[in-house]
Amino acid sequence: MNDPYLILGVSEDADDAAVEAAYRGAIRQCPPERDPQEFEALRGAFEKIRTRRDRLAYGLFDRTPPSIEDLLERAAPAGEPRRPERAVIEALLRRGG
Amino acid sequence: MRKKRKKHLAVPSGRAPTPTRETALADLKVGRFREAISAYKALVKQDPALNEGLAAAYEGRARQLAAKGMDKEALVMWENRALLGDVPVRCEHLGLLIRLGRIDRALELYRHPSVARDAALLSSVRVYLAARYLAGSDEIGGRLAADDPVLVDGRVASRALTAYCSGDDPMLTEALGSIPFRSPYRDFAQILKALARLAEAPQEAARQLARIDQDSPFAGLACAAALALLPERELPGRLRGMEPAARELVFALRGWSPERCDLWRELSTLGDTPSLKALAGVVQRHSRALGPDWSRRAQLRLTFQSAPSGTGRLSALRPTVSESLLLQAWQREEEKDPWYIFEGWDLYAGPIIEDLKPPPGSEAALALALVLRRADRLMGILNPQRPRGQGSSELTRMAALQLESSLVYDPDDRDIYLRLIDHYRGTGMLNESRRLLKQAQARWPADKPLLIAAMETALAGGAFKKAAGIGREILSVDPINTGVRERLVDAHLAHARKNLCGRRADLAAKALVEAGEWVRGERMDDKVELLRGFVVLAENEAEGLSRLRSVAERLGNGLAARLTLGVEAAQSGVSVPTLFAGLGWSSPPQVRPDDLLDFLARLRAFQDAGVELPHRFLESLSAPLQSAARLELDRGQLESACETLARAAMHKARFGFARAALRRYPGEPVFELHLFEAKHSDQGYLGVEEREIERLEDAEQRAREAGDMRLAVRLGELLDRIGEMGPSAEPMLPGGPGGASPGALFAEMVGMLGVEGVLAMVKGPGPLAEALREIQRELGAAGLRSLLEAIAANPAEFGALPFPGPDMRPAEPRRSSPRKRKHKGAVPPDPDQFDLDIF
Repeated sequence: MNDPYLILGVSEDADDAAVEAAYRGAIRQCPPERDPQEFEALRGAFEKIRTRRDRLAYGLFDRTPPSIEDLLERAAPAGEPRRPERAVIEALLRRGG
Repeated sequence: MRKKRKKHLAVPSGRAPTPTRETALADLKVGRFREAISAYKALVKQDPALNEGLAAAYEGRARQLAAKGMDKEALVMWENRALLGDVPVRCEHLGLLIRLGRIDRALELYRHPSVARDAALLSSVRVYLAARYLAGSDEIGGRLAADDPVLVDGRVASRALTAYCSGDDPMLTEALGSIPFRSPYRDFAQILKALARLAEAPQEAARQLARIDQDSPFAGLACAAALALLPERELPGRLRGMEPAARELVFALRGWSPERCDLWRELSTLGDTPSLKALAGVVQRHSRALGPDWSRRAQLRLTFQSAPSGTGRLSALRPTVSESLLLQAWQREEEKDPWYIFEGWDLYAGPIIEDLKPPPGSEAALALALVLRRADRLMGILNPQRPRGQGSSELTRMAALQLESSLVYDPDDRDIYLRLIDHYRGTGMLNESRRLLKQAQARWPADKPLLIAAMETALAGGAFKKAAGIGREILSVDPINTGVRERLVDAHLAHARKNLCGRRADLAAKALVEAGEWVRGERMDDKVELLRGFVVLAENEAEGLSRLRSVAERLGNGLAARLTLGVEAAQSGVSVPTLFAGLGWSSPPQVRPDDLLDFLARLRAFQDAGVELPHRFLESLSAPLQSAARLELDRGQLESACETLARAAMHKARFGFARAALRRYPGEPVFELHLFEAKHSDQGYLGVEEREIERLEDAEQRAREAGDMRLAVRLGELLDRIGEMGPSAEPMLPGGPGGASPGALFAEMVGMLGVEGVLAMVKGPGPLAEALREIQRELGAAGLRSLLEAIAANPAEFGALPFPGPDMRPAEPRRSSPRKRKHKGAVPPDPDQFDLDIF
């Protein structure tokens, strides 16, 4: 994902405290030793929208186009995980190993 | 077309045409199973005992084919093997039968005596049947013995699966607890346990799934479940390669809604790396779901990044004037030319300042302040890197003014004050520096960086006592600040020098004592010791010379020593020739490479500290320096030497180094610049030859091509100055960087600004507006609009035509006249169209 708001899961009108809280929460879930790449993405997103000035600067100067993941997350955010239907698992077992 | 028949490979020489046991075995060992089958088939006719070898060859070939995904062909091999008689059943054979729906035959093999005899085999075979049973295969359940573990444990496993799918976790736990460890459903139980903990303990779940053997008939399910644990960035790409059932499993486990799945399917049709244009189309179609503002921003970015192919699409977006100017500023940032970038953001800011007049503190005011700071932030225009005397170029001056005006809209950015204070002090504009310092300290009275800036400004103005007072204030809150301590020592030393110049050696000695109070470390001590030599010299020449001789010895008695003592002497009011004569330095020293590098480092340190260097004294060092230019220095050292000598206005020495560098690096743009400047700086560019201008223009072009825009701009500015002063400069034809035609540039501009954006420029100032007015006079307003619409519709065609207007890029060097500041609001906007909130 390229959009820092989507990466951190905050709305575009989030204030400094909300952005920082989202970042802290995210890196607790994903510390650098677990997934360095994901951590870097979180860190980069935080740096981009950390303060009011940063957020305005991001809107004005960042020219990065949205990625496929951005579009998916923005248009139809992933919801809570759900259990698959039995037929799905049966189909996978029918295929075998 | 007829297919060519494969020619049979010739039998390698030295090998018997009829197979032997040895050749068959050798084929088997190296995996040439087709040849082994053929050989064993022939041999078995003579010796039936070789059946085992043929079975092994069939088995090897079956595995080879299965690995290639040729299941049916592999099954033929397995069946051929089974037809040989008493050969043990293999799990893979049974698994393949089940996968291909040959359940009857699979059950036949299950009941084969060799299976019943081999407990391990029986257990493995049952796992295949278990997977099939769970997959809802009725044909298995009815044909197994009532006490068969596949059936008995299968009922429990099925209950567990139902419980998992319906979210009945207590029932799931109970069912899983009833599946024995050695059950054929052991892998399945493990997978269900992992699936149940996927969300709350993904790492543990991943470990459990990884334990499932790749040959297990449950591996497909485990693998699909593991894909649900992939990071979001990897998932969309991986989904494309998955079979539908695996994808459905991942969708459910990741909580994807039907809308998200549909959008993914739409995006997946665009390929692995969809074009930006295609993505822009998706954004347009889904703009309601994406949100209109976000969608608009995304479309602008996608279209901008896909330029120039996106130019037509950009017109279709009908950007507002604000958006057009923003896109233009973005485009200019791509060129990496500080002037060009500066003017891009200046154009963007103009209408906001003049029409919106955002009140300080508002979101719009803060955005405006950021815009005004952008060029300096991006290109470091105010960085103290330019040679003294050129530091306050037009661009630097304009950038400083723009930074100052940004403080009107956002006065809470202390770093901007500091940047300006340092810049003004560095360029000798002390009053400006003090003015901003006063403003900043009114807001942040005890701020340490501001106190340091105040101390530096006081030192630069010769207010040593004031500087010492500020230094004490800083050290009272930050006692280990060595930087401040060093600056304080410098302040006292400067005070001592001032007294020496005034023939007050007693007061100078007192200042040295005060300096000594702040000294920490050898470097500071050396400075004090050097000046003490001059204080002693003022009172006792012999003793003073002796002390200074010791200092010179420590400095290597070379060029670096001469520079250090010479500068100190000049600062302390001592005649340098007299001092050098006293020290016995009548002839120039032989310069060694380390001495030369030390000399240059010390010269740079003096320059950075703002020490006024006595020009005549420095010129006296030109001769040994010119001969030192022959020493072996690397490219970086040569460039650094030229820059340092340029800052010191030591043009003869600089010329020598530039010439030596060009011998080693012919045509290197930076040395072309130094050679020219060193040759002509003293003469104000009079008498410059056409050939030299051509060399500079070539160098500028090469620098631009190499992406060194800072050097290209420097060369461009030099050429501008020559254009002002020199007799031979001619106006250049309009054109853009890289030789783009004016027509292509104009077409690009129409694409960026849109028809309305360009029409809005007609009433503005500047050569482009004048050219547009000229066209309007000829074609009329409607004619001009039609022309612009035609260009927007087909920019490529227009790009090939000669455009009669002026240069589209005011920042590009024009040799005939220097660049002038563009007035704010050069593109008069329609205030109704201007909308800062979009960004």
